[in-house]
Amino acid sequence: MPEKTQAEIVIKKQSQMKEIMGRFAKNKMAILSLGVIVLLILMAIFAEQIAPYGPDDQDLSRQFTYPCKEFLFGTDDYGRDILSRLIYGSRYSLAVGLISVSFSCLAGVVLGCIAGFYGQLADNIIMRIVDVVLAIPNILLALSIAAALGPGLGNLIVAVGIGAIPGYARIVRASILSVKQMEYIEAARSIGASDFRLIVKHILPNCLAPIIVQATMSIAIAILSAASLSFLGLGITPPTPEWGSMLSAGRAYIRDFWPVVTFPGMMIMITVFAFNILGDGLRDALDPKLKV
Amino acid sequence: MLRFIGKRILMMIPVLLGVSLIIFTMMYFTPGDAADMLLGDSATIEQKEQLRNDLKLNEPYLVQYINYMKGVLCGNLGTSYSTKRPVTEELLDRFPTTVKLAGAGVLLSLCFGVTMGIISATKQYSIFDNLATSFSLLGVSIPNFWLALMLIIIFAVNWKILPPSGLSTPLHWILPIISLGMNSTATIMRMTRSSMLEVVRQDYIRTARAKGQKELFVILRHALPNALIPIITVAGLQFGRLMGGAVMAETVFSIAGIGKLMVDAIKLQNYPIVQGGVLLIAFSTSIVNLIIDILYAFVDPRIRSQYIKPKKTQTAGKGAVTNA
Repeated sequence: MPEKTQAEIVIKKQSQMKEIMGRFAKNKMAILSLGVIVLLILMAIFAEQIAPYGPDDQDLSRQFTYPCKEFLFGTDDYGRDILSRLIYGSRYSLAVGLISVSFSCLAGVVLGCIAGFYGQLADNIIMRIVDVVLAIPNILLALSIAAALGPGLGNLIVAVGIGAIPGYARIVRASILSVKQMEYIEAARSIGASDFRLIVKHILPNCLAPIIVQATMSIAIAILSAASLSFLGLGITPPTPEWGSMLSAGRAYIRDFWPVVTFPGMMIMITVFAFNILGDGLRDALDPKLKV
Repeated sequence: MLRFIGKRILMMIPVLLGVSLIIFTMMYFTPGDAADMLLGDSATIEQKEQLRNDLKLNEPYLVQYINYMKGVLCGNLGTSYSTKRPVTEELLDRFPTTVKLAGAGVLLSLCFGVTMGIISATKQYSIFDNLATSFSLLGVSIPNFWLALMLIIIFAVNWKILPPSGLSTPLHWILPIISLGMNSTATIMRMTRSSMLEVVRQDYIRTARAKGQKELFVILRHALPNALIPIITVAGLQFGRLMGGAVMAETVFSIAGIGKLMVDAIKLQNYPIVQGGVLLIAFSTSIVNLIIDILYAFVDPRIRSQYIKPKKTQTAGKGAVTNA
C-alpha cells in the first residue's frame, strides 16, 4: 500500500498541467474574467444573431433615445442602436487585440530567441534596437506608425503590435539565458540536436509561462491602444462601430446625451479589466513566485 | 559617482540616435512630402520640384538624415508646414505645459498610490486592502480618455463645479490631472503593496516591533526606505508614459501641449512637428531615467557603495581575519 501511495504521489507531481489548472480554478475572479472573455468572443462571432438591430440601421426619427425597453443602451445621433453597434464593435476590438498580440508575440519570440540563444553580436544589435523602441512612449510610437501608415484595421494592428515586440523579446531572451546553460540542453546538443530543434523543442517550452502571461496582459494594452488611436481619429474611423471610434463620434454630444459616450467606454473597460484579471490569474497559477 | 553619471549620459546618445533614425525613417516613407504640403494643390509640378531642390528633399535618404541630425545638434528641428515657424519654437512653447501635466500626474500617483499601497500591505486582506486592490485593477483597465469624458460629464456638465477644458486657473488642472494620473496611481499602488509586503515580513521589521517602536515609525523609518527602489523605478517609467499619455488628456480637455500639437500635426501631415515631438519626448524620458538611476544611489547605500572606491581600512583586515 505505501508503495502505491508513493507511486500516486509521483504521478500527481508529474502532472504539472493539472497543478496549474487547480491553482487557476481556485481563483474565482480569474474564472469569472475567463467567462466574460468567452462571452465577448461569442458575442463577436454571433453578432448577427445576437444584435437586435444592424450596426448601420439609421432612423433619424429616433435619434438620441435614452435607454428604454426597445433600445437597451439608447440610440446615437443617427438613430442607430448603441447596443447593436457595441456588439458588432466587439469584433474589431477583439480582432485588433488578438491579431496584434499574435503578431508581436511571434516577432518578439523570434528576436528574443536569436538574441538569447546566439548572444554576442546578434544579442547586442537586437537588444539595442529594443532599447531604442522602448525609449519612445508606447502611445507615441503607435501614433507615429499610424500616422505613417494611415487609418484602417490592418494598419492599426501593425501600429499597436510593433510597440509590444520589445516586451516579448526581453522576456524570451531572459528566459532563454536562464535555461540554455542547463544540463539537458547540453545533453540534447551532444546527441546532435540542431539549434532550431534545441530552441523549439527544449528551450521554448520552458519559457512558456512568462510568454503566456505577457500575451494576456498585452491583449488588454492592445485593445486600449487601439481604442485610443481610433478615438484620436488615427485608427478605425466612423461609421465603423469600433468602440474607440464610437467614443470619438459621440464626444460632440457629451453635454446633451451621456449614453453615447458612456456605454462604449464601459465595454472597453470591462474587456480590458477581464484580460488584466485573467493575466493576473494565469501569472499566479503558472508561477506563484511572481505574484504581485 | 561622476563616472557613473558620465557613463549613463554617454549611453543615452546611441539610444537617442536610434530614436531619431526610426522616427525619421517612418516619416521619410510616409506618402506626401513638404513640397505638397507647403505649396498645396494649386502649385505646378515645376514649382514643387524647385522647392524640393531648395529643401534638399531630392537628396538620398542617408544624406537627408545626416542633414536633419546636423540641424538637431544645432537645435534646428525644421520648419512647421502649417505655421512656417521653427519646430523648436513651436515645441518649446508647449513643452512646459506637457511636463507640468505629466509631473503633476506622477505626483498625484505617488501621493495616493504609495499611501494606499502602504495601508494595503500593512492591513493585508482587510476591507481596505480588498477595496484598494479592486481599485488598482480598475485603475489600470480604465481608458484615460473615457475617464476624462466621464469626469467632464459629472463635474462640468451635471454638477458644474469644475471647468471642462483649458488650463487657465488651478481649478482647470484638477480633471486633466485625475484622468491622466489614475492609471499610474493604480500601477504605483500595486507596486508599493507588493514591495511593502515583501519587506514587512523581514526579520528586522519584527525586531523593530519587538523593541516597542510605534507601528508608524516602523513602517516609515524601517520598511518604506527598503521598499522604495521598485517604487522609484515605476514612478520614473510612469513619467515617460504620462508624457506620451498626455496626448489623450490634452485632446479631450483642449490643452495646448505637445501631445495635442502632434495629433493636430498628424492630421495635417505636418511631419517635422511629429518628428521633433517624438524626439523631444524621448529625450526628456531618457533624462528622467537618468535621474532615476542617480536617485537609486541616494536611496540605497548598497548601490551607492558600488560607485565609491573601497578604502583599505582596518575593518577590511578584521573581516579577512574573521573569514579566515
